[in-house]
Amino acid sequence: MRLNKERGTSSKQSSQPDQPNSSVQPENAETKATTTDSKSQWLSAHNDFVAGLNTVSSCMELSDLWGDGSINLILADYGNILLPKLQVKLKVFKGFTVAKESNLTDLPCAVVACFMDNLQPRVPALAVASGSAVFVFKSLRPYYKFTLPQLEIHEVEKEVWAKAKEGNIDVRAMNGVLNELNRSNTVPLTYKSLMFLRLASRDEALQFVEAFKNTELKRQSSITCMKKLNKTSADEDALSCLVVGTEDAKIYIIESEAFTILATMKCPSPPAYLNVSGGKRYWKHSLPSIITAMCLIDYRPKAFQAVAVALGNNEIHLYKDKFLVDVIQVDDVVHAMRFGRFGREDGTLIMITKNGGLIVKILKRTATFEDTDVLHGPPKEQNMKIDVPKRTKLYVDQTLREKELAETMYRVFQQDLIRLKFLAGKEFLKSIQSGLTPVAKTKTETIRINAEIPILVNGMEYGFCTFVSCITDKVISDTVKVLVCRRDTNTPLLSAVINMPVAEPILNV
Amino acid sequence: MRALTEQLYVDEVEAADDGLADLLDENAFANIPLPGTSMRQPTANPNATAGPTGPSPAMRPMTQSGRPITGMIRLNTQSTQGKSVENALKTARTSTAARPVTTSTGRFMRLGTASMLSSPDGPFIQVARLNFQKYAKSQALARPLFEHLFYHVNDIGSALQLARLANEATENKDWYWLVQLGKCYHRLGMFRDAEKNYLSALDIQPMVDIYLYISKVYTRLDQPLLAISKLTDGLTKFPQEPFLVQAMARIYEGLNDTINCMNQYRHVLKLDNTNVEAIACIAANYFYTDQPEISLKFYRRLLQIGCVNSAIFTNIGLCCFYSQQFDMVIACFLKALSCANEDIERSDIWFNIGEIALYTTEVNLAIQCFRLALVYNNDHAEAYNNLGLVELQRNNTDIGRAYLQTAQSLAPHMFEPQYNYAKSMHQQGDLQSSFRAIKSSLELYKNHADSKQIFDELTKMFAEL
Repeated sequence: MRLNKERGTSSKQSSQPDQPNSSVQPENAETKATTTDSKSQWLSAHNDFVAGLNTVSSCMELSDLWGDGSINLILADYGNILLPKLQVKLKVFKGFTVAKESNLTDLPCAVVACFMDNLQPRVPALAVASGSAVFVFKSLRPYYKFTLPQLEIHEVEKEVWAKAKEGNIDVRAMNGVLNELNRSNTVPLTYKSLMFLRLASRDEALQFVEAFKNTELKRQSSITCMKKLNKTSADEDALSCLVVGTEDAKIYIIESEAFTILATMKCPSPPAYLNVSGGKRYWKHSLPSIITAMCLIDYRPKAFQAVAVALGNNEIHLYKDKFLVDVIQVDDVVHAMRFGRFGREDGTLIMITKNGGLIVKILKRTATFEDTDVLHGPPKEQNMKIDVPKRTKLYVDQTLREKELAETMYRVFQQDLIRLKFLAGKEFLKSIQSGLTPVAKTKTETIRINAEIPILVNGMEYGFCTFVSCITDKVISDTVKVLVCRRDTNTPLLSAVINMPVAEPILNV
Repeated sequence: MRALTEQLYVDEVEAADDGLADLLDENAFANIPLPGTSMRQPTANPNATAGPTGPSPAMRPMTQSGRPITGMIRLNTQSTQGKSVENALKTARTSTAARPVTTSTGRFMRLGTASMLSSPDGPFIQVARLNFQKYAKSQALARPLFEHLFYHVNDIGSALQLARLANEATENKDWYWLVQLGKCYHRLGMFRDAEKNYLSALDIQPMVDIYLYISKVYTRLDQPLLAISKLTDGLTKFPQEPFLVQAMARIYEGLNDTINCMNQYRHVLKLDNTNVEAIACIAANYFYTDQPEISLKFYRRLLQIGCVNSAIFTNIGLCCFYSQQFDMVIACFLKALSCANEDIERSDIWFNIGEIALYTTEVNLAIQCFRLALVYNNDHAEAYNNLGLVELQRNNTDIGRAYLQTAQSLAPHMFEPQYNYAKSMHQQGDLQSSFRAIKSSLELYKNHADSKQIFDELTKMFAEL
């Protein structure tokens, strides 16, 4: 089962000091409880940059494993994956020290604490998804192993391996048949067949067939992600089901008392992360750096919900709805984080950094987050209600009329519009012909003026002054019409009407 | 003599009496009035920090004096007491828009001259030869003679002389002469004397007219709140009098207090449900507060009570368009065009059709309409502004900008051409011109968000230099 390991950890590049992981005991590690500046909403509870932890968010869980009211941090530590020997450990932290460790056989992809019975005191079981099985621990002792159901195997493939067992098939012929089957892509091949096809030389193939021809041919998917779903009530310590996503794009809902599959769903492609949500995009942000981890912050005492987003530039952004409410500066890139109750503290954010450090921050009880974010996202005004006048009965009536007579109304409007265009065109033409427009000239006209009177230069402004004398002693106002004509015609090129102000009477003093 | 007076009788209550020279007078109490107590400047202005109660200037167009356009043209709506002398002098002085330069001469002189024009043989009565002492004693003669002098001959000085003598004869006890004295002083611009006479007339005989006169005096003295309180006094004595309520509504309108103004106009309608001014103002208010369907109802009511003119049809057309009753829109505009008697009306109708054309994306039609609006009224700044925008849209930047500049010079009270020009210049990269224009836009309308944005951008850019 080496394939699994490759897939699960391909993106992880750990740059820890090259020492055996087990020798770095968190108890001995440098621990400093620093006090942060007063402006921050977080208390720095624990900074340990050489904790040597290597995990992802889905393999971190906060749960009261022993039912003593103190929440433990459980995480699956991948260890130094560059070492040839896999050293995966399930670690339980009590406070900031490792209280218990147990070895795991394979790389896990998710750790979930869930309640599987109604016994008192409420002690959760720990489900660790790894490979094609879910290992269930109770009080950290192996309790149950649930294996994914067998998948259908192609008849031809079965036949081929049956023949191989009997020894009456050539390795080359086997290769041909299986290759054909692989390309036809109807039912995927088993891992055994795929391994066989990857072998380069004939000798290796022979050896492989010899070694594995007696093992049972089976095809199993592997788990990609796992979450829990409460079965009957929303209480935190209620019975829950496990929701498991697999490599062959299926989602199983597993009832955790008897480990039976309650429901199976098919996805279009293998699920990578599993979360219960609506799926509709509400808003979108571009962030200054790549996202390395995300987690939900649900702080019950203050009914505060936000999303923490860890970024590649050593920052953790807290988003409440679409507002950036807080930025936490960390000393390293955070690769995994989890928010919840830890120990006896309600709001703790536990972060695992790229270099294996463990950082714990506690949310201050006085912390308040305000939506005063101007730099990110749309302005607050967007949420302001527009003062729309209330809908009148008249409006509703008119809308109904519009609905009923839509076609007629549209037709009448279009007809009228054409009539109007005709009228406007006619009037416009008349005004142009009689030179009544104050804003003159089509392009040709201007050019012609230039051609005839060479002194005029296009683009220059010429001012002509003249005097207007008042010809009446009556206190009335009238207009003066200015017409600009070409010398040889009497249709004006353009005209302007100047409204004269009311004439002032002669004051007799 | 009476017949001649009747010919020229004007309702003194409706007369407008402010001229440019009024701006120079010192009758107003406070030079820097408290908000809401003056019709000059702050509250009557969209730039007030407290903000007007009605729609913003971006929604409701402004008159030249920076007041939201009203539902009905009255003598006083064209000119107001607001603004400074410089602004008033800058405003384009056309016969339709601005005020005459001197007080109480222009318009009233015209009324006087009209009578002279009509009697080529010379004046009916030689005023100079009258012996006022004699006539003042006989009440039967003095009253018609006074009215003749006041309305027909328009010789306020002589009328005042007669009124004063007659008042002496009646020993200050006849309200009629007190009111006439008040009217004379009012016209001559001696507001404090007018106030005194009106008040003593009110003591003798409360009358609706006198309340209206005195409210006018207070309005002229820029004491709108006092005017309103006098009108309220009047209402307690004459609770069913629509004119008093109407006068209050007008004052509120002048103060930009839309809510109170609308309440008063509604009150007018309760008392007199055929009051054209109230219906028109309420309709206009509904239109500009986004309820064109209700506005439509009011305009239809105006048609029903016999108010058939092009403006009403234009307004109905616009209401239909904005409440999406498309089948009626163009029919209304065509009807309006056929009803229009004056070029100014035609120009406004074509401008509105142009607007509709823009909304239906008929750009060519819109251009033709705006140009037609300009044919009928060469100074139609809004049409120039819209033409400018259309040309900018069609990438004729030079022509577009020329149009906008024309609009700027024609209507210094509009912020739109300034803003449009600034935006175009900003896009072109001529930041200095853009800055200049955006500054004038903000001067006109301080809270215009888009202008502010460009302004901030530009200041930031200049600061970086």
